[in-house]
Amino acid sequence: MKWRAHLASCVFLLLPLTSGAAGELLATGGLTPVDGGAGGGLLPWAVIAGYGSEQEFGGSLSLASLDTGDYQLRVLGAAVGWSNRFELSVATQTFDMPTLTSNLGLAPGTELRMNSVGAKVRLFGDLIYGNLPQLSAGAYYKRSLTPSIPLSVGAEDRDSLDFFVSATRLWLDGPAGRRLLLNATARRTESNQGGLLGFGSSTAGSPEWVFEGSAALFLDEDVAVGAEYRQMTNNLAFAQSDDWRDIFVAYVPNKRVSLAAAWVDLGSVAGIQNQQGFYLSVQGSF
Amino acid sequence: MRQMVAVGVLLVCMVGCTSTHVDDQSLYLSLGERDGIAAIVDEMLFLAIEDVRTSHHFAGSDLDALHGKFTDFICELVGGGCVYDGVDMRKAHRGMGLERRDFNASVEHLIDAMQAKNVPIPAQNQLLDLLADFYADVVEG
Repeated sequence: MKWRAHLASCVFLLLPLTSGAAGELLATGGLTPVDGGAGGGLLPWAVIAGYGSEQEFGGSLSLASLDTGDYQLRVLGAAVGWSNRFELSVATQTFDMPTLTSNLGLAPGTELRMNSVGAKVRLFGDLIYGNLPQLSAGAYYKRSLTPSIPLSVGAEDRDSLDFFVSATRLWLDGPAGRRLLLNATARRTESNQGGLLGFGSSTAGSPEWVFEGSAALFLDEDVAVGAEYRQMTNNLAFAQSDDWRDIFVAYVPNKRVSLAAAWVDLGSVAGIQNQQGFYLSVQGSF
Repeated sequence: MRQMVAVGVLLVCMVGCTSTHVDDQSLYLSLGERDGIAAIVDEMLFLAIEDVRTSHHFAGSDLDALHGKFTDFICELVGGGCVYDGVDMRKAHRGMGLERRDFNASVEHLIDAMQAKNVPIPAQNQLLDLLADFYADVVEG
């Protein structure tokens, strides 16, 4: 974990030196979802990471932490966008589960780790201009680095592909004269709890489509409040999965940095009910 | 199935929920009438000329004439009863080779100008929404 923190601080320090032209408007690069890329805190949007306009690079680096008491999730994500068209991303997740390790008699400090590599392309439309919402398609390749635990609770695979289609639109003159962003994402997946509990199961069939959505209202130029929803698959027999939800506030003072805080409800996770907690993320962009 | 319906409703809303027209004078008044609009345009042009991303587009321009025209254009657009007698936006920007980033830079200049003039957020967003409709006329390709 230590080298990741060092890497993150190095990149954060270097971000202000990048000569990105940043031709896209403030906050249009979104935040970093747990799977990486650009979107809300929980799910990908159709927007492309960073602030690069046509023929420009953009990108982001983010650190996020979610603590429900029984579980702690940390995510380090990086993404690069080109020409407001293509996006490549990586994310690495670390999942601590002190209550579960104690209940199951696992070695203290046992954690789940997963890597995610993503790609996204904007197909048509625009976040703000013209008549059509921005529509993008993408994929995540996710791979557990600690497969023995997911496999032991019934997951079929240690890695898998998610495919998704997202539509995102920002209305400049929304309710109460505020800017309103809506996003709808459909994802084909067999991830258990996003992949932390592996993929599929011997009893479940093929991957299924799940729905995910976000809404955000910009109170002024740099503060937005919103809510998110992400449907979960239910492949594992040993424990029920509930859909994920959050309410959030994001602060985007400039194109270099953004902060987000959220109250996240994961529902039942690996047999422990009522997993709610505070989420905090910091993102650097160019 | 339920999620497909939800996606469908959202998509229909995203395509169909945009409507922009000004049928009263509230926006005009919020912008400070013609004098307020002139002050906003003044600030916006100042920012555009100072900005290395956009300054070259104004080389050789008659800034006084541009200021008057754009003030009239906005004043008419927001229902202020002014008369804009210039060419339409497509003709006005033809051949300038303006790109998406130029339009976005102008949006940023306008936002900063309105912030500097303490224009209320709803009025800012209303004006930005009206001007965003001219994106395809201004940006080539």
